[in-house]
Amino acid sequence: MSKEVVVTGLGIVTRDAFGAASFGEWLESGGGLPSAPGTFDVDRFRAKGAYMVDPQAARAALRQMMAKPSLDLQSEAVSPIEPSLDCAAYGLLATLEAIDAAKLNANDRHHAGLSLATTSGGAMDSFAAALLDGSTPNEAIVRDMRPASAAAIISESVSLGGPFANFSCACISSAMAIAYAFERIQAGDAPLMVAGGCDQAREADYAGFNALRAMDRESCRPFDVGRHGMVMGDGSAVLILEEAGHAAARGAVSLAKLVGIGLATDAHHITAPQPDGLTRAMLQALAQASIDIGEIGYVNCHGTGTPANDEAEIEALSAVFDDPDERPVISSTKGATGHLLGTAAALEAAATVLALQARAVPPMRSTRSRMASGFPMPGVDRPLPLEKGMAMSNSLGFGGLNISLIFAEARGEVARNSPRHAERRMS
Amino acid sequence: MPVRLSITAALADLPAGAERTPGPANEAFGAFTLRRLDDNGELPNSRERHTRLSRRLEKLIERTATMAKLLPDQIAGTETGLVSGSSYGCSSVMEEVRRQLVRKGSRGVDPIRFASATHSFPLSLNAIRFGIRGPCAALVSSEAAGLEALLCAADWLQAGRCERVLIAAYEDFGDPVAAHITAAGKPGAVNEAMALVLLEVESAALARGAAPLASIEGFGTVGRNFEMDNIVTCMRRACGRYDPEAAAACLATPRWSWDVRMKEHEAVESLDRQGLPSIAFKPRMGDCLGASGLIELALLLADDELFCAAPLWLINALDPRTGGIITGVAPSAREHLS
Repeated sequence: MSKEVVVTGLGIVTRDAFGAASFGEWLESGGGLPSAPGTFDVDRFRAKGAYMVDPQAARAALRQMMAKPSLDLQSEAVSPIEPSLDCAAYGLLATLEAIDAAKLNANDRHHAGLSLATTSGGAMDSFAAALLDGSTPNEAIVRDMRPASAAAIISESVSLGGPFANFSCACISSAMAIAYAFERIQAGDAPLMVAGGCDQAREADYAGFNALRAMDRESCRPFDVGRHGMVMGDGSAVLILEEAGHAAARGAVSLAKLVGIGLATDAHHITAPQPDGLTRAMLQALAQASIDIGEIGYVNCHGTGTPANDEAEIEALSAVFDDPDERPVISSTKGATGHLLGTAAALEAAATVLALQARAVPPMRSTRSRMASGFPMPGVDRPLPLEKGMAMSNSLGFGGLNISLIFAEARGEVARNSPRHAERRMS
Repeated sequence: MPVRLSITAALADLPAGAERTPGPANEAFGAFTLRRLDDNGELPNSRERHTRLSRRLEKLIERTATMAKLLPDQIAGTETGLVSGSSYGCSSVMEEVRRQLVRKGSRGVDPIRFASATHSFPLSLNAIRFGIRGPCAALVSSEAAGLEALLCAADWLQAGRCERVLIAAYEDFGDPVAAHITAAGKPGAVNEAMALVLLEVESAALARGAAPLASIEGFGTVGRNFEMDNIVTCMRRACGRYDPEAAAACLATPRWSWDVRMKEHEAVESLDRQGLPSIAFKPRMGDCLGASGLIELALLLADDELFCAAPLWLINALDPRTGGIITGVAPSAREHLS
C-alpha cells in the first residue's frame, strides 16, 4: 500500500527573496525586472539581465541562520564552503530554512536523506581555471570540484544520515530529485527527505543560452504574444518531504501533499519540445494521483517565455484539459524569478505549494499581451483565486525530458494528540 | 505486492589493463594509474551531434539490445526508460564550452556544443536515436551512482511507469576530470568505463521471450554515518526473500577508503554466511568511480560459474563521503527462500 507523502517545510533563496514567506510576497507583487549579474560582465552578450542572487548577502544570511539555536547544528559538522562554491551556500541556506520550518531536530535529521539537483554543483570552473593559468588549486577546490559536491556539503553540514542522490538532467533535475525522494519514502528507506535544487548561474551557461538565441534582451514574458525568450536566474529551493504518519506523530504541520508524479520523454529534438511527452507525463501524474482532470485548479507551467516552449506547452495542456469549459488556471512564475535551470523545477514546486496555501495564483506582471491559450491566466497586477485544492507543476528539459508533479492542499494538518504538538503548544 | 524485476542483459566496457577477474576482497592494489577506454577509432566527427560519451552509449545500447534479443520496435516507445549514473558526468564537455568562451569570447561558444554539455545529453540523444519515450533521468552523484541509477530504474518499474529500463553507468576522463583524479591522489588504477544493464519487469521480459540472467531481490540505502546497524539492516533488506546467510558479497566500495571497508567487512561477516565468498573486482580491475556497482554487476553476471555459485549476491557500492547502495541479485533459476 502506498504511503502518503507530505511537504512539511520549504526553503527558498532567490535574488529578490530569502525565505518562503518573502518569496510568496514577491510573487504576489508580480515580481520585477532582471538586472545585470554581479559576478560576470554581460557586455559581450545580447541579453543583459538576470535574476542572480547576491552571493555576499546570501553568505551573510547563511551565517545568521547557522547561529540559530533552534537548528541545533553541530558546529564541527558544518563544512566550510569554498568562496567559489556559492551554489552550496545557497543550497545550505535554503536547506536550513526548510529544516527550521519543519522543526526537524538532530534525531529527525539523522534519519533524513538528501535528494538534490544542480546544473553546476561543484567548483569545476575554479579547478579548471587554475589548471589553465598554471596555478595550484587549493585543497577545498580539489575536494569539492564534482557536480555533487554541493549536495555532499549540505548533507554533512546538517548531519543527514539517510539516502543520498544528486541529479543533473537539464531543467527537470530538481523535480526528478523530488520524485526520487518521494520513492525513498515509499520504499521505507527514510521517513524524511530533503529534496530540491541549488544553482549559481555560470557565465558559460549564460553564454550558451545567448548563443542559442534563447534569451530575451529585456524580460521573460511567459505566454505573451511578443515573447522572445528566457532570462536566467539562480538560487535554491528545498522541500522537506515526509511520510504523513511520521509527520503526524511528531506534530508537524503539513503544507501540502505530493500525490502524483509523471515522467516521459519526447524523443524528438535536443532543444525543441514536442507536446506529446508533456501530455503523457501529465496523464501519468493524474493516474497516479487517482484524480479527475477537473480536480486540478492550477498548473504552474514551465513557461520559459521562449516561442517554442510556451506554444508546445499550451498544446499539451489543451490535449489533457480538453474541455474548454473546465480548465485550470495556468501561469508561469519565471517572469518573476527567471529560469533557475536545474533548480527551477523545485522553486516552482514550492511556488505551487504556496499557491495552494494562499488559494491564489500570483500575477504575471511581465505578460502584458497574453497569447490566446484557451486557459484562464492571472493578470498583470492581481492574483487569481485558486478555486480547487489540487495543483500541478510541470517542467520540461533539454532533450525532450518531461515531468509533472501534482500537489494537494493539506490545510495545515497536524496531529492534535501527539506529544510534540503538546510540547509546542506549551512553549 | 512488489513487481518481480529481472536483468536480461549486462555489458561492461573497460580499458586495456583492467582485469575482469575478481580476487579476495582484501587483496592489495597497486600504484596510481589512469586508464582510458579505446574508442576503436569511432569517435564522432565535428559535424556530428554525438559526443564521445553519447557515441559510446549508442554502441553499447546496440550491443545490449542484441544480447537481450530486444527488437528495435521493442526498444522504441513509452515502455522503455533510460537512466544514467556517474560521478563526473559530462563535465568535460562543459569545460570545452567554458574554454571556448574564455579564448574566443561570446561568439566562440558553439550553441550545439553547449546543448550537448548537459549531463543528460548522452541519454537524450540516444532516446531520439532509438525512439525511447519512457522516463529518462541522469544522476551525477557519488561513487555509488551506478547503483543509484539501478535503484531509480527499479522505482520506475515498481511504479508501473514502463516495462524496461536501460541503466548506464560511466566515467569519462576528458579535461579537467583527468587532472582532478590525478590531483586527488588516491592509490590504485582508475578507469574510464561504461556499463549498461537492461532491467525489466520479469513478466514482460518472459512474454517477449527473453531469458532473465538474474533477479533483483532488494535494495538497501546506507547513510553517510556507516553505522553497523544501518549497514546490516540494508544488507538484509537487499536480500529480499532470501536468507542473508545465503548471500555472497561483491564489494564495490573504493579500496582506498579504509574505515568504510572495515565497517563493510564487519557487517558482511556478521551475516554468518556459511563460507560463501566475499570478492572484489577493484584490486585487479581498478576503480571505476561512479560507474562502480553497475560495472561489478555486469562482470559478475558475465561469469556464469561464479554467479551461480551462490544463491544470492550482495553488491555493495559505498561512497565514503555520502553513503551508498546495496543490492541483492540472484541467479534466476535457483530458489533459496527464507
